[in-house]
Amino acid sequence: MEPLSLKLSRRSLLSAAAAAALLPRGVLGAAVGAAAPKSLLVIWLEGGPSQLETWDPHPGTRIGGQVGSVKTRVPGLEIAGLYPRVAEQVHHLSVIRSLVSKEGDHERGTYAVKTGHRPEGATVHPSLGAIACHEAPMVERGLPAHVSLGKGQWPARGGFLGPSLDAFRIAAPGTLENLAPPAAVPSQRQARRLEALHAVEEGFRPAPARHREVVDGALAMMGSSKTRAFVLDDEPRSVRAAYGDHPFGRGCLVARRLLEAGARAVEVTLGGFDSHAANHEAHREAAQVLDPALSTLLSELAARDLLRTTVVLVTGEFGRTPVINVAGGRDHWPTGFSCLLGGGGIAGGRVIGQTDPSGAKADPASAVPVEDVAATVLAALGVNLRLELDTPEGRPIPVTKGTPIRRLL
Amino acid sequence: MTGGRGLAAVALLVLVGGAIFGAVRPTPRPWLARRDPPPAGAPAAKAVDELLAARWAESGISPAREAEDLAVLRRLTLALTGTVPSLEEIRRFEADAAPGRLERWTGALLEDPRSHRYLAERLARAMAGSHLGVFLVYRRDLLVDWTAERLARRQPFDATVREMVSSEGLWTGAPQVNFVTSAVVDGQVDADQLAARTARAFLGVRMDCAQCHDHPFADWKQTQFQGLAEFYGGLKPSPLGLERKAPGAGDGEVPFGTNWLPGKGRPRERLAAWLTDPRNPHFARATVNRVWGLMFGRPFAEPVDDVPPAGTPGTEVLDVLAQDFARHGHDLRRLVVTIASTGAFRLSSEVPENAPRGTLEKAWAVFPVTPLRPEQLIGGLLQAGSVRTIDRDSDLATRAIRVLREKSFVTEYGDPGPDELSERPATVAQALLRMNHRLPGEVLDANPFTSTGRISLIAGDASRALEAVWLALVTRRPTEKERERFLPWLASARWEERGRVLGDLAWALFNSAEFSWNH
Repeated sequence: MEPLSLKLSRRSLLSAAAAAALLPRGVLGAAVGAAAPKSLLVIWLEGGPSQLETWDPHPGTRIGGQVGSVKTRVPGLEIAGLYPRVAEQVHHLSVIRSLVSKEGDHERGTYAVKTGHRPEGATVHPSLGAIACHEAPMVERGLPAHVSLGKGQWPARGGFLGPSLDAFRIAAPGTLENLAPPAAVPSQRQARRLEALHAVEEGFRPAPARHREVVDGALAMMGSSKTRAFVLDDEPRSVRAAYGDHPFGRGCLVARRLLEAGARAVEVTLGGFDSHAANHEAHREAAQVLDPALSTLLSELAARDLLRTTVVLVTGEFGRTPVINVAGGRDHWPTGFSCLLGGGGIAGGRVIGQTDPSGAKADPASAVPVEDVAATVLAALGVNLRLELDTPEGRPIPVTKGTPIRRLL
Repeated sequence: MTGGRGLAAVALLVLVGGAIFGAVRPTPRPWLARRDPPPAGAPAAKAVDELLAARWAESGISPAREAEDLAVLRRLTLALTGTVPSLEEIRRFEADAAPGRLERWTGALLEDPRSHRYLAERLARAMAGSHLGVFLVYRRDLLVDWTAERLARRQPFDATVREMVSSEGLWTGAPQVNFVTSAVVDGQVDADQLAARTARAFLGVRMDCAQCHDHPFADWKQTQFQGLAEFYGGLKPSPLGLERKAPGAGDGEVPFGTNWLPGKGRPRERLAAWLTDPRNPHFARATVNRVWGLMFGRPFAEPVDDVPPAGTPGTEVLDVLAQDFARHGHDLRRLVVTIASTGAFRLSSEVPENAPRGTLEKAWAVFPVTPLRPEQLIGGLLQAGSVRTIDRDSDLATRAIRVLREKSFVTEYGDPGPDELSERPATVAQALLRMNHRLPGEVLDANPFTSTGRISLIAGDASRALEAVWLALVTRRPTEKERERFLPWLASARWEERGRVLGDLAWALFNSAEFSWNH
């Protein structure tokens, strides 16, 4: 009966959407938000990608470097020529070209973008993904709600909301990693190990209940069929090839599978953007990985109707200087950098902000502080922006200090 | 392994292993036999016992029984070196039958460079955080080395803090300056960040809550926080060291005890003198509370860096220890010895029948059960996987592997950062890591380099092998019930299979609550 009910719900949703089209936008957001909580997908470009070599090229100018530009389906929007395939898909998202952050250090910059707060004092703020999981706990069991794929240096954390909301990390996407015993351990030995474990646990009287709970939770996850989402053997070879045969490509494909399986927040990290020297080469190399993977991901999310329920944010911790240094590199630049944002009810195909093509003016037009991106993401996820979250000490912390970007909601 | 080399290896293992499995009693190392511990802090420990006993009597609590010596040895080793005791250490400890062996052992551990390094790292986290900062101006490693060296030379802790807060110079040449440069953001010292850490680490006051609004619980005002931050105002790292960029900056104000603040001197010198002034009760109380937390896995007053002011009912224990600490030259080692010899530290973690654990833990009438911190879990695992103590006498490769593995595992397990004494709930991800990460398997599976491999080869009969694995992992002997259950597994196993059974048992112990919690 499942296909029928699926069709029905699909149809009723479509008609609801059609009806809602007549209503103000906020009402539609509320209606969809109430029906099913949305998910968050963050494509994290670690190291600080250059805006000029990604979504904000200025070809032919003094600061433009060696990169050309390519037209997209959005009239007037061109992105760096390194991304011909993303150019075919980028209309699903909007481009912000005027991000500003106060943090020019990798760790602090990452914190600012991932949490929407500046690092201050000893309070560690939760990442956007952790907030999403906290506000709309996942009902599906046997699958981590918050996942980080790839070898990110500062993966998304639960912060003061607690380590159980830290992103569950898979360093080599496409594998089960710690979700299954090592291949070298035959099932017979695994059974013996567990038997011994239960026996020794019986004898330890001060045993905290929490230990048993997490071990049981771990065993449940190891036995769950849901974790099939982490492995790719049932994906057609052509699909895997389209994403690209490298950890990031596999990470993007796993991300799509996780979102389909109901994960609340997924982060996929691609490194290699910290181009203090040989900026062009670094970005060309990264683009060879990012262009096919991101474009395939966007087109699949759209084709599977996942973009409606998934907020997608493609960003790094900051951008890079307009000026090219003596080593042919670009240095850290937290003013006037770019990100892609869309899905989950956020408008696609818009361009916000503008940087100075001459590079003389540091401040971009229509500057968007990074906390406003956080606020926009949270608003799209259906989080009440006036919410205060309590630290374990009972100190209330506003969920965001930013203002949602009106033009995108 | 081919025949000849295999035999040679076995012979070598028998030689090395003989000592550890009891064939030969190892001779204690000279530094262990050399000195009896001074009865340092004994009166203070006694005063703490009396205070707690009075509290129990008042609330009608009967405390837990006294813990076995081996259980105390385990928590002591975890607190001071971040690992479980090695099989070698357990044998040595048990070879000492004279009264007072736990005091002797505490003294010996405090002479051990492992403890200087380990405690220095814990203190550095509290003082300067765990972030790596801006490498060009911040060398965290140097700060930790310097702190460890001060512990090794038994320097007074108030002087250590004064040096860190007030020193001038280059962070490479004067390691203590890294306390200040750890807060460099965008080429400037972030005075607010430093003030917040100063208040938390050295005063036990979370004044930074007042950074944005007045402190919700205490009497801290935003203006007071700004006054404190001003002492660090206008600092900038330059090739010559720390420079004060803006003339006239640094004219700070202290939130209380204005008469302890020297009228003259450089701003940070004045601040340092004020912080550690004998009349300032906050400094000693904050330090005592933190060291108590390191020893018990839980600070006396929570959170560790928001300590109620002196004289608050229920915190007399902190007053007693703080006075002893301040009167005896702010000697951290004496403080550790004192806390380790309190009755509370020697209590079992098992509550008496039907007693409520929460109530007893709150009254320190039972040893608190807390999750091991990541570095303790991995340190314990690596140590349990080796029969010999991993210390500076270990070969370089072993130590290097330990450091590398520790780093990556701590990251994966979830580094709690500077807030490590706030209890973090155990997570499913951690349980998965313990069960399925390749490292525990590698370390615990039997091979000629691991403890289970050596035990399998050398321990002789199954009963002794079982005992050795239990001692290596959970610092106790197997119970009668466990013997009954597991000895048949070993008895029926032939050579290689025997190693695998031992490896599986070690795996089970490692994954048990008994291993991954402090108790």
